[in-house]
Amino acid sequence: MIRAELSKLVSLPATWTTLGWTLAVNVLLTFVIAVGDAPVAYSRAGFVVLGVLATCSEYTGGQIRTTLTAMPRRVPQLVAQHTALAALTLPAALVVALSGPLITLAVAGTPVSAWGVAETTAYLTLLTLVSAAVGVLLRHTLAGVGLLLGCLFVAAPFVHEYLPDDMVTLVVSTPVLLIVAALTYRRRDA
Amino acid sequence: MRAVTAELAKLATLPSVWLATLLALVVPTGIALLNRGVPGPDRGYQELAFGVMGVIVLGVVAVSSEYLAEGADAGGGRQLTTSLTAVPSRLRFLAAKALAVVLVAVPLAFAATAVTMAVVQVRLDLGRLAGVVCYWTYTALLAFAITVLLRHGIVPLTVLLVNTSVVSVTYLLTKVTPLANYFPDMAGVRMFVGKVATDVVITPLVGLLVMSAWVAGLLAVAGAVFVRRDA
Repeated sequence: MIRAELSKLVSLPATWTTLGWTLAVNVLLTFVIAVGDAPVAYSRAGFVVLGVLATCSEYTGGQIRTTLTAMPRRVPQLVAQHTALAALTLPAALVVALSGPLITLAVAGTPVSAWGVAETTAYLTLLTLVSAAVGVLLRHTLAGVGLLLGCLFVAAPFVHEYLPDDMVTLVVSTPVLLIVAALTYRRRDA
Repeated sequence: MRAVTAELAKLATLPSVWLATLLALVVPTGIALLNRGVPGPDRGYQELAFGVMGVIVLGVVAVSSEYLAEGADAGGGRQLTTSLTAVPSRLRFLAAKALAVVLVAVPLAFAATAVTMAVVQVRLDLGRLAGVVCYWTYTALLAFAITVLLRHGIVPLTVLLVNTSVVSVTYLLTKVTPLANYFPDMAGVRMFVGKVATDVVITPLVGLLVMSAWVAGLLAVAGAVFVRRDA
C-alpha cells in the first residue's frame, strides 16, 4: 500500500517542480540574506504546497475513486498516504535544511550545527504532514494553500506571543489534525 | 458592459471570492485588535498594509478559476473555453474581467479600512486613506496580471502571500540593493505608511507612480500574452 502511494507521489510532476523550486529559492535566499537557516522561514512555503498537493491531487479528476476501489479501507489508505509522503519529504527536507548552513559554512566558515539541521528537517516534515491533513479536510488545493500560508505568514507573527514555541505548536497540532482528517475522511462521501 | 456584468456574476458565485471578502475584512481588523496597545504614527495603516491577503486571493482566483480543469466526469473542460466562446474578443474579455476585479476590490478596501479604523480610532487623513484603497486595488490587479501570465493559481498565491509576511522578502532585498525599494509593494505602501525602515526616502506621490507603472506594465504584458497565446 505504501509502495502504491509512493509511486503516485513520485509520478506527479508537481511534486518535483515544487521541491526543485523550494530548494532553488532556499539557496538563492541564503545567498541574498546570507544567514544560515533563516531562509527556511520563507522556503517552508514550498513544503506547505507539497503537502496540500499530495492529498488534493486525488480530488482533481477522479483519482480518489480509483484509489478507494483499490484500497477500500479508508483509514489504512490515509495512513499509507501520509507514510509515503513522510518518506518522500524527510530526505527532501534534509537537503533543504542542509543547503542553507552548508552555504554559510562555505562562504563564512560558520560551523554547521547538526542539532539545528535535525530540528529544521523535523519541522519541515511535520509541516508537510499538517498541510496534507488540511488538504484532506478541504479537498481544494488553492483553498488549502491559501489558508495555511495565511496562518503561517500573516496570522502567526501576530499571535506569536500567545502561543508556545513554533516546534511545540506543530508537534501538538500534527496528530490532532491528522486524527480529525482521518475521522472526516472515514465518514464523508469520497 | 454586459461582459462586465457577466464577470461580476462569475465572481459572485465563486466560494473563494466570498472567502476572500471575509479575509479582507477579518485579517486587518484582527491584527489591529491584537496590536491595540502598541502606540505609533502608523497604527491602522500598518495593519492595512499587511492585511492585503483578501484582495490577493480575489485577484488570483478570478483568473485561476477560468483555467481549472473540471473532473473527467464533468467533461474535463475549462471555464475559459466557454468564456471565450461568449466573448470572443480576448482584450475585451480581459478588460471586463479586470474591471470586475476592480469593482469588487474597491468597495472591499473601503469596508476593510472603515472597520480597521473603527477598531484603532486614530485621527483620519483622507490622503492616506485614498492611498490604502489604491494600494489594495493595485495589489488585486497585480495578482490578476501575474496569474494571467502563469495560467495557474498556486505559484502567484504562494509568492504573494509569503511576501505579505511582516518581514517580507522584498523588504529583506532592500538590505542587499536599494533598488528593491522600487518593488511594487515596497513603493506602494509609501502611499500611506510613513515610517518604513529603509534609508531610501520615497514620497507618497512617487510611490503611487512607481506602483502604477508596475501594474500598468504587468497588465500590458498579460494582455499582450493573452491575446497571442492558445487559450
